[in-house]
Amino acid sequence: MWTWQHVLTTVFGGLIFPLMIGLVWGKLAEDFKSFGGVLAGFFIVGTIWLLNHGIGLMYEPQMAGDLPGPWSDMALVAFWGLFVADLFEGKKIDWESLLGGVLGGVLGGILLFAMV
Amino acid sequence: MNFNKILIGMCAGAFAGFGVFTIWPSSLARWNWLGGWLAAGIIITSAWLINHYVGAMPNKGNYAWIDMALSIWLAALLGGLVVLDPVEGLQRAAYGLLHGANLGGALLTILFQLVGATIAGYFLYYLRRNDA
Repeated sequence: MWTWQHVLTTVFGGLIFPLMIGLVWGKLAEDFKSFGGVLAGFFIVGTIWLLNHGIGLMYEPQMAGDLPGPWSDMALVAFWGLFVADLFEGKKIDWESLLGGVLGGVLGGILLFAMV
Repeated sequence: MNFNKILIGMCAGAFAGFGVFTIWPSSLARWNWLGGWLAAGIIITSAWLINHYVGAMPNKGNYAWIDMALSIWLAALLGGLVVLDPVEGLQRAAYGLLHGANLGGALLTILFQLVGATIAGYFLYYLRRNDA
């Protein structure tokens, strides 16, 4: 069951990930080019994964039980945080790109479904 | 609409989505929490290189940023998680909507994730506006 503690930790987990990406990733890529992405992979995504899913800031009660799922990954907040930051700025939605991203998720999901 | 660009974005996004939810649970099962940390560097970096460093995910300059994370999140929601267990071998760790898992169980998680992400989006907007 959800309690206010779960709400607080989930919201905070959802806040820190896009904030960190938005502020740090671009700088790393600027400073170190492609190697900046390696550093960002470990020290932004890896470290925040430990907090959000490893330790469990993000509460996922649906993962208990016989038929666990569906999993709502912290990737959602990375997408949404960066997306709305640009929308606040008044940027338009690029439907081509959005469709590419959604279809990528659908194909990825089908591949995962097909594995075992 | 450029059909080829969408198709390339789809394949690059699927690589990210499939890669994350096979490598990550497997690495976690093999090396515990440190495996989870390593998995980020192993798959997120490679996926970022193709999706965003060279730009297979077709983002254009003055439009709202579409991150490969969208593909990643959706892949797990639809297809669940697959783990290569060190003892049991290749196994399913979680089910997705394609298996008939109930979206309702994840709705509150999704809602509060979006609340946090929206606050972060506002913070980013605020910082950029005041730095520029």
